[in-house]
Amino acid sequence: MDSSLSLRLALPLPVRGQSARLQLGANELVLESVRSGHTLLWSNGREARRYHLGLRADGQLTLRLRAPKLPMRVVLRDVLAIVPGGRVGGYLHLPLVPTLQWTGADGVCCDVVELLPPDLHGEWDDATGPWLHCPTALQVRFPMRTGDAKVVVPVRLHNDTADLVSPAHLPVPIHDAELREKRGCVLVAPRRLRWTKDGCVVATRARCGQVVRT
Amino acid sequence: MNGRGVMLAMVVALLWLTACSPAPQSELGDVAGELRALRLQLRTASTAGPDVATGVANAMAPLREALQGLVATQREQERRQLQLTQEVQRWGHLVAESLTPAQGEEARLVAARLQELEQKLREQDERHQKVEELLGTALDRASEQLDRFLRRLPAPPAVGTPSDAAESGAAPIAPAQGSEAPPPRQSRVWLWVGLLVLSLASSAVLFGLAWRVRGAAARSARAGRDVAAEAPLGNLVGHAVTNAAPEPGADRLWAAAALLGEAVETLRARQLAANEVPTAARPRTLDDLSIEDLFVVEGLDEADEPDAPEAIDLGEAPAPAAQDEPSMQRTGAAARLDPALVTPSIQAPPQRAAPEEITVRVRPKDGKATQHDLLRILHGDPRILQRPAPRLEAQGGHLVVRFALLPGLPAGERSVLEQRLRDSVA
Repeated sequence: MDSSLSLRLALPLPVRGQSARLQLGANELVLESVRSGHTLLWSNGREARRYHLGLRADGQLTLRLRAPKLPMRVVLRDVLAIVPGGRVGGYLHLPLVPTLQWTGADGVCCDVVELLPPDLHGEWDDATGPWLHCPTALQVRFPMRTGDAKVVVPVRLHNDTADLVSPAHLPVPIHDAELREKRGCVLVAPRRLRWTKDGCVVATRARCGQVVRT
Repeated sequence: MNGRGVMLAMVVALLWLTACSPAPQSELGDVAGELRALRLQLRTASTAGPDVATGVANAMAPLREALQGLVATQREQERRQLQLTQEVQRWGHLVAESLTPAQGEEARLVAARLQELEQKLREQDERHQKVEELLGTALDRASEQLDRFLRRLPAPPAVGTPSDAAESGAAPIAPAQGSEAPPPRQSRVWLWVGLLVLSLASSAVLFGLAWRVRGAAARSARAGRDVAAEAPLGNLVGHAVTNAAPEPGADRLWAAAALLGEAVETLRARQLAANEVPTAARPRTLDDLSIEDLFVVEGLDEADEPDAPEAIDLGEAPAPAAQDEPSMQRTGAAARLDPALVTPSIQAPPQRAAPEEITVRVRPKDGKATQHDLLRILHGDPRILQRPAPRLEAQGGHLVVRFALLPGLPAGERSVLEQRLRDSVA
């Protein structure tokens, strides 16, 4: 089984009485053409949902891997402690949101279905509003390909304060325009999180002064 | 004259008797000791033969078992073919009996064809038996040849032990005496048998490890989903333990393979870069970056890293030991922005108003089971906010479920979610 990830996967519209199938990690999509329209069956191995879709014949459906729309707070599964002046690096394997997108012949796009991964759940507080809680592990090596819809985020954490830093979570902003396919993985440019007396600052690092515009 | 002659005769007789006296007892003892030592060596060599055969037989046991399995499979196929043939024959007779006289000729042709097929089957069975005999003979010959090969192996000279000397009654045979020492055939044989067994064991271990790695790759993807599903109540400890502790052997193998792939890719990239024109422009976009640009853990000097921080309003302090200034100063940090780097900023929260609370009133049939099902949905569905936490309240025989949804959720999904809660208690 090929575990390579692609940011876009086309889901062809089936002819009447037939179906089209698409597999992305644990997600399996079956699009059936029925008498009065189309039926989409989604399953992730634990849960299944059915959607009734009204589509046109002159467009196409695409399953896109997108970054979560809400800000993401990455909660590490291991305690992170950085001494003053210390630094640590690693990789985060964060979930993406498979989104079924419709593109009409006139170029109009719309998101039909968003399949939120089960390891993301939303939270809300008065100060920041809604955000996504994402538990994961800080891996010291480049994560192996699993076929799941996830993005690899290289991070490097610095403590420029005079005190020990043990953060409750890591702010990891990701945008759709940053996502890149490299050797079967989806990844973004490295992030550097630096704790100063003013708080945590996040920078995207590219080699040789490259500019990453998002 | 007579006296001299008698004296001479006596001296000659004495000399003759002296020359014909028996050999000293010590030389006879040495010869007898050597003979006993040779006999002991021959006995030892004769007893080493069955050990070699046993070792060879043990080493060839897996091959013999495989061949026996093959033979058993062939016999099973023969038995099935025989049953099939008999069944076809019965059907043929049945059809022939039900045929009309006009179709008799055709039935006879079919019967002849059937007999021809049976004859072919019998010939095939005979060929199978010949193949079995050939395999058995080849196995025995291979075993014998291996045995002979092991026997022909050269051996270093042996040193006589005191026990051998005591048993044979002779002095220990020293190599310096030029005698042919018996080869330590048994130790060499066990060395080869040990190597053979070691190679078989290592191949079995490698096969098992590969099988384990293959299973771990499939399990690792499923384990995360299963653990996430089985911990709807926020059992983060179990979650962490399960996901943070993959199988160590598989993890190391995959990590080593990934590192090897990265190294090969890096070498290729460097070779390509060396072959290119040296004035080639540097990559300008992220797409052109090499994979090694993503390795931030090793090999980076602090001076090479561009500093382009941007303060992030986290809403809460990063929990340093002394949180003197929990509030972030975005403007102060923005003044230190590096113009060569534009950093992505965290999206401003789209809304700060409290999320709308949804209340669903259900009538449970079975109290505990219903609550369990409701909690499983409330904590397992990613569309439901976990903070503020969903609440279950009992009010006069009803259960009131209060929860909030992610902003921007379509009304259809919201309605389906509410209905799912109602259906769970129906």
